[in-house]
Amino acid sequence: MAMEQRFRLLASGGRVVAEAWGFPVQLTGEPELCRRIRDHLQSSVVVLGQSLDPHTGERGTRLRILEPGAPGWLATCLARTAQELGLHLTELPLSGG
Amino acid sequence: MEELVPLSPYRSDRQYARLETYRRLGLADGTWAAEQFNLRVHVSQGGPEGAETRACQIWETVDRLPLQIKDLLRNVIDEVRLDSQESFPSDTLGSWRDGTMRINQDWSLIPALRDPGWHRDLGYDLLRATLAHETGHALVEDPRGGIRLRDAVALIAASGWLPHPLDDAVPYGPVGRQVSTLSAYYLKRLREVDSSWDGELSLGSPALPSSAQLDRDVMRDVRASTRHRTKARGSLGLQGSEQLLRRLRHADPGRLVRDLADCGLVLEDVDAALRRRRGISFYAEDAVSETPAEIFRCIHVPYTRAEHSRPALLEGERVLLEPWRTADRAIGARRPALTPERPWESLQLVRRGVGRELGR
Repeated sequence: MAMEQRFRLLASGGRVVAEAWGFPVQLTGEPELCRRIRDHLQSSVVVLGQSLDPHTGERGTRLRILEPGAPGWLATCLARTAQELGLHLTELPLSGG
Repeated sequence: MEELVPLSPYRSDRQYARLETYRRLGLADGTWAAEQFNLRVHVSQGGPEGAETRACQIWETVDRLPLQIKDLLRNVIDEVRLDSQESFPSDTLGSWRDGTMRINQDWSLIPALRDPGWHRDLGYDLLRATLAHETGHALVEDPRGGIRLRDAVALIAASGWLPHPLDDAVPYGPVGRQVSTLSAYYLKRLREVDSSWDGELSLGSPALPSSAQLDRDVMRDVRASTRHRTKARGSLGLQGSEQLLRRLRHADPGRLVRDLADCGLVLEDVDAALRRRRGISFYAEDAVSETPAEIFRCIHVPYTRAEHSRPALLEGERVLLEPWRTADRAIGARRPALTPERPWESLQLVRRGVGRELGR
């Protein structure tokens, strides 16, 4: 079985308030915070990425939309959620946590 | 012995007049861009409805950019073009090449921005991020200066680019603990791929292969359109830390542990190496040649800032900012901004009491 990407959200003082992993996202922890975090995990997110014209070599900045479940979507959503809720986000190691 | 930091040739010795001053005098925004930033401005004719508003937003965004980016606009960018959507690849906000920056003048046509749920400031944030990122490219790759290849490689090493541990175990040992030793290792390997990669030359130097070739020689995955020649030359096979973690997560854990043991590695060490330095954004993991520009953007315009990418920001401060700050200290205080160049208008400035604002 593959190793899941798991995140831990900490309140000030290092208290664990929630853990999130997989898709659909599974959340465990304080129910009220889990509900608020889940509210942020419903929609796609916009990030910036590169465009490159192979003929002219012109580099550009383009928009990328990460749909729920896409690679990087959970980390991006959680990073923004943690910022908004004043939580500290850590990603747990490959070997568990 | 500590290395002397070179002076950036791009630091201006003048302040910049505000856009508002020109507008108050009834002068066109393009006049402000030309006089303050030495920019030729081209606006495509027959633009869509709202294109004029977009142009105003662009100059208002430029007006609020940090000083270093303004200096680069003045000294590295020759022309800003506001071009139509059709002239860009899909979803492109702006681009840079050889002293010319092009901004898409109709973002309303970009499907991703049609969602009414996006925050109303997103357009401004994206414009600011685009200008900062493309200016970062100009700084890093400008043939008239730019940064040395070995400094660019240091930015790549500081941003978590690593080979798969089963392909190359060296960066997961002592070599990978310091950015300096890791980047020296990458540079040595790069020269083995192509001896013309001279670490002392500027990244934009005509004597070096192109930045597209840097992608081909360093990355494991490059776009199909630019892939030809890569593997025949060999490659360092580097991947962004997010991509590599994703690949490792999909591996069978038992088999991965056994394969790593055959290479003299343990999973915890690989994990620690991957987390020691992380990519600064998705953009920075699109290509190694995007990494320096994205670090420059993150330093000045933290659209999103990841705490785990601190080593990349520190290396960016050393490579991208310190030469400019050294010039700042060497040259001293900036002279007042140039006022509008027409004598009559300068007189009006004094009469209206804005001369003090302009340092006159």
